[in-house]
Amino acid sequence: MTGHDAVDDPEPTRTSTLVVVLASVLTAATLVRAADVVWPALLGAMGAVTLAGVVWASGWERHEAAGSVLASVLVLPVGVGIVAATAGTVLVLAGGLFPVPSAADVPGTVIALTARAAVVTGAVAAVFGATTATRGVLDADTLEDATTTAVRTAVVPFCLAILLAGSAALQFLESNAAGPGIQTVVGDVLRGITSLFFQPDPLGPHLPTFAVMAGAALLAAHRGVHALPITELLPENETGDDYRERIEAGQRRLFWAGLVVVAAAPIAAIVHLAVPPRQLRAALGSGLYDVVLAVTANPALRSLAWWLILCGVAVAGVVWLLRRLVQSSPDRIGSVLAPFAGGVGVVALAFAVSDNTVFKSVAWVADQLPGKFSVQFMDAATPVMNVYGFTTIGVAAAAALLFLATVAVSALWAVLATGYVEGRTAGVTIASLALFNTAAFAGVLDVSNVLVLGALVGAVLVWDAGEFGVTLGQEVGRLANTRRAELVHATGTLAVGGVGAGVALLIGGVGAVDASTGPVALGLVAVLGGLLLLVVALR
Amino acid sequence: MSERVGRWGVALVGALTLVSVGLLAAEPFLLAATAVPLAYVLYGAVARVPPGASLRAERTVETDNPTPGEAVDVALTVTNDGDAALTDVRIVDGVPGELTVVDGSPRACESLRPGDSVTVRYSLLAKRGTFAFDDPVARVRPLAATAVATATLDAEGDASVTCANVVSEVPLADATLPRAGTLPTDSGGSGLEFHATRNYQSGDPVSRIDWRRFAKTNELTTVQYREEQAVRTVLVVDARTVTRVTPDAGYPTGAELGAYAAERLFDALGRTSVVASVVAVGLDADDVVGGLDPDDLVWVDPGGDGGTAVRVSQVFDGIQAAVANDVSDAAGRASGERERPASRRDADVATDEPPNTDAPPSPETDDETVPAADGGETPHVDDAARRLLARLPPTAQVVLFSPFVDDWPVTLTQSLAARGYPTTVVSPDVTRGDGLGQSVVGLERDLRVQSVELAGATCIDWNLDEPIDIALRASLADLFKA
Repeated sequence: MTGHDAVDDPEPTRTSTLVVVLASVLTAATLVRAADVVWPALLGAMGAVTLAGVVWASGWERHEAAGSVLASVLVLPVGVGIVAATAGTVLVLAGGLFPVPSAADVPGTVIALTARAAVVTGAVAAVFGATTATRGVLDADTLEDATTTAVRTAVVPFCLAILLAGSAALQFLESNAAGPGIQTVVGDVLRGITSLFFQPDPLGPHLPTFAVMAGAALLAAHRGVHALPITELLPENETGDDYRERIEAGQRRLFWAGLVVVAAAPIAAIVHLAVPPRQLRAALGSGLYDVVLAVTANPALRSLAWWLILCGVAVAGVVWLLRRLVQSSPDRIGSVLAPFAGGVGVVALAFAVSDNTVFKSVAWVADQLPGKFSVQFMDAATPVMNVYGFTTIGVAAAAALLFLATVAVSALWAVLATGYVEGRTAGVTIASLALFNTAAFAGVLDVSNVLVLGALVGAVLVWDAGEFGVTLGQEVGRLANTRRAELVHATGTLAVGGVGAGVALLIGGVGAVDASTGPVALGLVAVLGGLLLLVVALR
Repeated sequence: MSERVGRWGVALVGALTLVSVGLLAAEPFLLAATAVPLAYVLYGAVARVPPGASLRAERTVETDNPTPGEAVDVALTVTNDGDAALTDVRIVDGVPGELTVVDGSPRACESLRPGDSVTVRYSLLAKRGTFAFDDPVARVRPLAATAVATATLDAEGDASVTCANVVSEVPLADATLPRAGTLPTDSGGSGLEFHATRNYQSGDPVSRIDWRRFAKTNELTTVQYREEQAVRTVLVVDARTVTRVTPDAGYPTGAELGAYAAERLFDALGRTSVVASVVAVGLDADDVVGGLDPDDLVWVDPGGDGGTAVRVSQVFDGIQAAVANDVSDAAGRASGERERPASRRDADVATDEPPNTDAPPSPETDDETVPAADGGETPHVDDAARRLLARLPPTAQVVLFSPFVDDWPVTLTQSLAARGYPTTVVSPDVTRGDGLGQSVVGLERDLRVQSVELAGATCIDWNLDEPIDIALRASLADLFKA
């Protein structure tokens, strides 16, 4: 800290941060209570705090690996919070507000539902903004890291979910359990393809598919053997060079054999199509033909080739990964691998709990849905659960939650990277705007006017104290004693808010803007006057 | 002077949100509620920095004559001289860039009524030299914080902090070195004490011919007296890059502390008319005014052209400059490198060295294998130490200033002991601190100090919590009584 430069690594001052957090949480809590959607809001608030935690942990510079581990662990709760605050809120509200007695009530109820849901999401966003404002952790670089972590965490569950769902769908289609129609046709085609490769008709030779599988198996085996560090592991002695030459020659032979067999596949296809089995038998002689028939139509050999392909690719992949790992630093490995490990953990969790939770969750959703929707939902959900099984659905749900969290983090990143919100005051800006929104939508509900005005003043106070604290932290720093000046400033802001609220109550009280009596124009004039003042001020 | 800050954009967005939601939901109260954000817009628009604002600043440096490494308390008082209350006054004192704030903050933010004042207190870590403060800067905002006025204040009172290493009293008056003054040698020549006689050789001074003997035997004989030589004290300052480590941020480094101690001792020795040379090891050519000697050492002998004191102070300034260069060069990697045990790096250097030495085994390297007096082996010596040993006068006593963060001073001390030079080691303890790394380096340093004492050198372990004078006085007096 020298001269008059800005403070190194500034953090917002403590008193202002306290004001921001208190004002945000109090305002949000009061409005949520007024909206009467407590549980989804609480879950959402937890998700908001964990989202802030993800961003914060991604910004750790000294313990990058540990931060990465923590961030990847927190991604799933973020997804849960987002779903709870949005879909959960709407579900709970819909269950409470519907069915309505008559069709005429539908628009009003929809507006009420939207307003309440907006109050909850706004309050949750305000909690997130206030949490990040405490340490000033939001910036584009950190959010980029957080996005990377979230994406990496989501990769394993996502791929596994696609794999599980794909194989379940294949099995379902091939089993012909579906009703007639497009599903049966697709099932037949799929079954034809798989039997062509794995269960060929034993009555005739199947040269082309056999050539493709054998060639692929040879090439995969070559890749696997080539990837293994065999020559490096052989002992150094006089005969060592000889070994190496032989091994390398063997590898080359594998490769060329594979290429030749694969290249022969089109010829085999032509032969297969052009020459009927009878002529082939006549050309080859019955002994050779029987051998060809036995070899090419043998399911065990096909299966062996398939496993060879799998093993070769797996060995090559694992060796490649190990080679990459030993060339990186432990911290780097930790920060790169931890999110993937976190994803595996999520999958394990899904496997462990999905048997119990999936059906309960579906039943709960059906329970929340009003009237006929509940039955329809269960009708749609039951076959899905039967076809895919609870585990697949659980993994897919986990992947979807992680995906949602990733979307949230990357959206934040986009907002900051485009400079739409200034990184310095991003936390308080989000909190303040969210509170404004919340207060505005609360105004639509049956909430007392004083409460709405208080929430508006709270929203402004959050922005004002937050921006003041950030600037003060940059110019003066946390070490200096700044409490009195901060409190004086906050008091001034509150006083002005009080005056504004008084004016608003006065206008509202005299009915100057009562839509039923007509003179809405007066209110609009007041607004226009204010905007004029604003223009003057900005000039 | 005052500048507008647009900071109520959120209120504008809020007002628009209220209007849109109000229209959407046909809720007239929300239109009325726009009065709240608009009140803030108005509030921000009318706010101004009070026109008659006037601030007065006074700075006091509360610590007199600080020594290097001591905390200097500074108090800056800013008073609101105007007749308007200032709700938001931010003050930043112009701390000299070279000094580090160790306690408190030179910044403040306060609300001041007319006549009120605020005092900013902080402590700086003193370094050798005089450092001028910049003028404090004040920034005033109105309550709405929508305008900013920034001004530089003329601070009354102290404008600089001076840390002079040499004070008027003689701190080492009662400390005696083992051979201050002259050293009787075992060779004949001119002197006071009888040594031997020998045949006259032409050119011998007439006054030393033994005339009585000539009268008796008619042979010309020359009387030889025991020669007396002035003892040279050589102060060796270890300022290699490894030693430029500091226990705390802003605290003087090991090299600087060694230089301070050497300067104190040099000054004290000068008063007691002991002949002292000063050597600095490990400096670069561009660190010292006048550059290095051909053998890459900076060696200042007394006498000569009469510029000794100037050259000596150039050497000490050079060490400070080297440390400053070092810090500015490697600001980023410094922290990592400094925490690393320095011995590793030096061990590497030591093992790499032999193949790189292109000179074949020379008399110099033969020197190394001369067994020590007690029959032990002389340790491996690197180039710098070898050049230093080559240049030491035969009758010197050596005082080595080094923080002992690597093995170099140990091998040097052992080589000195092997050659029979009486050696004193002054070692500032830069390894204090609770960190794991510091504890390890501290243990290594303790071992080195022990091995130096085993080699026969006198070791002064300078705990940085007490002034060097106390450490030197106690240790020197105690050690040289015998």
